[in-house]
Amino acid sequence: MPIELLHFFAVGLGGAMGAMLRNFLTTLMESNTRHWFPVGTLTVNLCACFITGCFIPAVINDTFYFILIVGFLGGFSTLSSLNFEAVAFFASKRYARCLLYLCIEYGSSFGAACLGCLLVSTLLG
Amino acid sequence: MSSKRSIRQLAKDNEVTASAAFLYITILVMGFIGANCRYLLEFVKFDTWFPVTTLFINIVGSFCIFVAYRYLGRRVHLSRHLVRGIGVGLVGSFTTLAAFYTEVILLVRRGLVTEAAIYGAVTVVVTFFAAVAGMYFADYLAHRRVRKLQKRRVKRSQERRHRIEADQLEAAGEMFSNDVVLRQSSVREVEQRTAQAQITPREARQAARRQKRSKPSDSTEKRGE
Repeated sequence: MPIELLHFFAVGLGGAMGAMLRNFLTTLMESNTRHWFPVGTLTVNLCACFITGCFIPAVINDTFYFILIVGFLGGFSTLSSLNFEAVAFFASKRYARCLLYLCIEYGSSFGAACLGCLLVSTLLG
Repeated sequence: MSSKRSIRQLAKDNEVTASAAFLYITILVMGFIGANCRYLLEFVKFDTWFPVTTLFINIVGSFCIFVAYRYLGRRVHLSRHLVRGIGVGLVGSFTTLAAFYTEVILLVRRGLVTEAAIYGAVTVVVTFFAAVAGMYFADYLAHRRVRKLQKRRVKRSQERRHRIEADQLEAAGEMFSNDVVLRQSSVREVEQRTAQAQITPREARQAARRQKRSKPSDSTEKRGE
């Protein structure tokens, strides 16, 4: 598939929206309640992975694919913040907490993706 | 008094809203750039089952997030919103968990379960250690920057000290010449006397102080020229 200008702008727009929504959600989640745990990143990644899983079995339009999956969900989900928080735990010598955080994060988002995928494939038959 | 306070409050509120708008604009622009970097990198295709490009993207992003937050944010003192824009927008939308899980699930659906497990494990471990490496790299950069700043400061203070000493020596020389002129001596004698005296900086300083005390107006005029 060659590079197209429409896809370029679709991906950029989706990424911008995803990043903005992620920032909004993380600040919302982490300003109201105080946890030892970065809840914002977890929520965002769970949502993004569930929606991604839903769209794996479905056959969708090309432009829609780029704007939603590559752009929006790619910008919405993040691996860098996850690693940032995990390494921040690691650097302050809370190894158990770091390991637990990584397990919860990766495990639950993989579960969410699988759940979405299974749900949509059973619905589509 | 109350009106003043209200004006100040108004200004503060305006600043707050303006900075929030700036934050969102930065995040939007940076998100656009980050997502497009990922989109363009995904065109580099390798002829293996292993999704090298996504792994590469995630490693680079995990490395860069520490440089962004720890070096740019704490050491270079960029604007707080700009740093958050780079961290959340650029790096955050560059790295992706969605594409990672898409690839894992596609591998599982094709029946390549071991490969999917290998890919997942490699991504988890390598991105974590890339982030650790990024932390050390950011600290190294910060150290280098601090050393450079210190060197510059030392150099500047040395220059200032040299300048002061030169001024004092000049003042001492003036005193000598005045002395000699009073006695109607030749220029060569002045040179001889200055060479013989071998003024140390401390003496020069004392001489300058003495001169300043005796006739401050004269010396200031001379320096003014």
